[in-house]
Amino acid sequence: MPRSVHAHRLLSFHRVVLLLAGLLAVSLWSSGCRPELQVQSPTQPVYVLAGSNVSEGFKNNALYIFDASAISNAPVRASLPRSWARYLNRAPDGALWVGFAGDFNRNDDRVQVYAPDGALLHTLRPCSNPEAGITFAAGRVFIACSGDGFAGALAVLDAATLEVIATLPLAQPDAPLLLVGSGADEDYVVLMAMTTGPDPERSYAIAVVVDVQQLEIVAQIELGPDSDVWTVLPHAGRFYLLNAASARAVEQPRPDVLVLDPAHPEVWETLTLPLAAPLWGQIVAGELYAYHNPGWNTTQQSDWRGISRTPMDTGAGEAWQLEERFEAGGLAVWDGTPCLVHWDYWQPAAEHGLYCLEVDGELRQRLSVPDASGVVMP
Amino acid sequence: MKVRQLGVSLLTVVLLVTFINPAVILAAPPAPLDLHTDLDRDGVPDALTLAVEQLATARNSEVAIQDLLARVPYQAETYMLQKEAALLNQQLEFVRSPEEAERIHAQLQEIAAKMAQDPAYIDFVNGLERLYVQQGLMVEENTERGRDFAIQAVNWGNLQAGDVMLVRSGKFPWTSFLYAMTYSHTGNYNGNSQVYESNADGVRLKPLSNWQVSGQYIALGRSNKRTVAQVQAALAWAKGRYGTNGSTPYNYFYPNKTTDNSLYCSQLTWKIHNYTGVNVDSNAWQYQLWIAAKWGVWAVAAVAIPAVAPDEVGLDGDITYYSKAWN
Repeated sequence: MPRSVHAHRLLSFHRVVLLLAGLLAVSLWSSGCRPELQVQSPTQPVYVLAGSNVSEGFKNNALYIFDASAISNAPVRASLPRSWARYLNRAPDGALWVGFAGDFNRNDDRVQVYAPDGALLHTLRPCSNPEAGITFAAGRVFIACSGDGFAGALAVLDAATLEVIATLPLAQPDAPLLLVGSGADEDYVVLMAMTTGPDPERSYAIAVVVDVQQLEIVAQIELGPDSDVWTVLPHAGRFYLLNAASARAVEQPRPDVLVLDPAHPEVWETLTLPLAAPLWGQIVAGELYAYHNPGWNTTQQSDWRGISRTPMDTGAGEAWQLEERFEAGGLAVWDGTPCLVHWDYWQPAAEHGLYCLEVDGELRQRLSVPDASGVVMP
Repeated sequence: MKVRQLGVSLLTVVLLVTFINPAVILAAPPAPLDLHTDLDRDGVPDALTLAVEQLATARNSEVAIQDLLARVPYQAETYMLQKEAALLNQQLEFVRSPEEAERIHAQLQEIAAKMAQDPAYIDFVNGLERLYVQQGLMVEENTERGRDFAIQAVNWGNLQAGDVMLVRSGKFPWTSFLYAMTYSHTGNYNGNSQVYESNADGVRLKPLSNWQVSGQYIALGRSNKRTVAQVQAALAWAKGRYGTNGSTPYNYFYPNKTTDNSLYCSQLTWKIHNYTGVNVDSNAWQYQLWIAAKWGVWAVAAVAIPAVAPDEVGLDGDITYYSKAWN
């Protein structure tokens, strides 16, 4: 009999625990602490990254998933680690890859992989500061890591197993190689780095071309003064390097876009855009869309900002002037409309988010995302 | 009778000594600092304002800070926590891994949080911060956002290679130098839109754009004792000495600023200018008072004087700060 009493007590205790757990779950759910992933991946997804508010300890870091076909729906929100989330890209299988770079006091070596519905799939640690681009080609993942800024690395992963196939050290003799961007097609990865030059007041860039099959560096090219490339756009076998420093030239204008044919890296073509200093961009349906920021990463102060659209065949583009110092962390094209992700510490968080250039030429907010700093639209 | 006379005489002598000898008078317990009266309603206790004014003219600031802190009516537990913090700080000298140092830093942050339960501690630290904000030594925490804060933009256009860069990047422990007053990080402009700095993972180069992110308070300064070329030569020396391969690790024991085997951010800046023969460790009494208020009197001798905090570089008269503003 004592045993049964004991069992009854256990059962009662068990029931109480279950009841309390149930109440706690209901309480948490009603207080907003509900699981963040509730919906299937949307049919027309828009992925917005929030990850650059270092001043507030990255407290709003998250990956937001919107459905472009029904933007009135609440987005799915996946919280991200409190570290500088520098890069977002979407793999061919739909997974979202995010690279982190720590803060002023720490580096980071994490890359996180999320499912299209926002579920965290993997946390990888390929190399230090994987902030200079994550690209996909030939069944491989190419992760550009800035390291300590004096030399970088390209970690190559098997896209199926996520195992590191190779890590290519990237360096420049007698000069730093500070990786800031990359792009890939099925044959080559092109990595962009900052370096030093004879004039400390000017910017110098280096392009590194890697064969995606052989995993060898096939060319390493110095672009000379007034070059600063953060965006590499592969298109039709060539790579379009957006030169954010094209407005900084003192003596003679520098190209807005340098066009690299990896098969002939010694021959460069150039493209002139309607505005100088292209920083972020995308090529869609034969047109190059760019966000222009001449004040980016320079001591030269210039407050104007703009958007341009340039047909690749004719080169006769058009441009739109934006509000002064309208800072954007990325550009994506949504149904033929260029959109920018924008956040500003001094603005209310409700005003951060995705802004699109509407048909009347006005830039208007379409999505509200606190600390929005990156965007991908498949 | 003789015994009574002797007793009276002795008592007389004692009383005379008590009234005449200043040492006996000074040995009396100091009057507690009044942290509540604020007649001019400037947000700073009047007694604190007066005490800091007196401190500014003290011959020995370290002793004067001790005397002032002795008057703050802390709870007994706060003194115990300060002793605990002192012991933990000593342990940093012997850490063997970043993880161990991080653990100690976390413990110190926990102690700071516990001390903040003491009303006298909060009144004193907050009052001092408000006073320093009024004096331009600290920046106001901008709780209400507005464009007005950002009107005075950072003067990036004046930046030259070798210039000192200071940043306040929030008040969160994971982005702050443990003993930061205003500035949490120091860098050195490398030219070519790059910043040479040291962090927990060693010396590194970062893009200038990292420092230009919205919401950061930035100070830019240049040596007024040496030419730009001399500082640039020292910067080149530092890169040769401390690395382009991550070989110089982070120095978690801040008081040992002379070592060449490990570096923290402001130590790197101090080394660069020390190479030119200029000591940019100001040992400013204002920082010493702040760190004593925040952590205990022990921190003056154990941290502020031997170490070189970003704030001490920020208060150094050998550097002229030509821009202090929010991004």
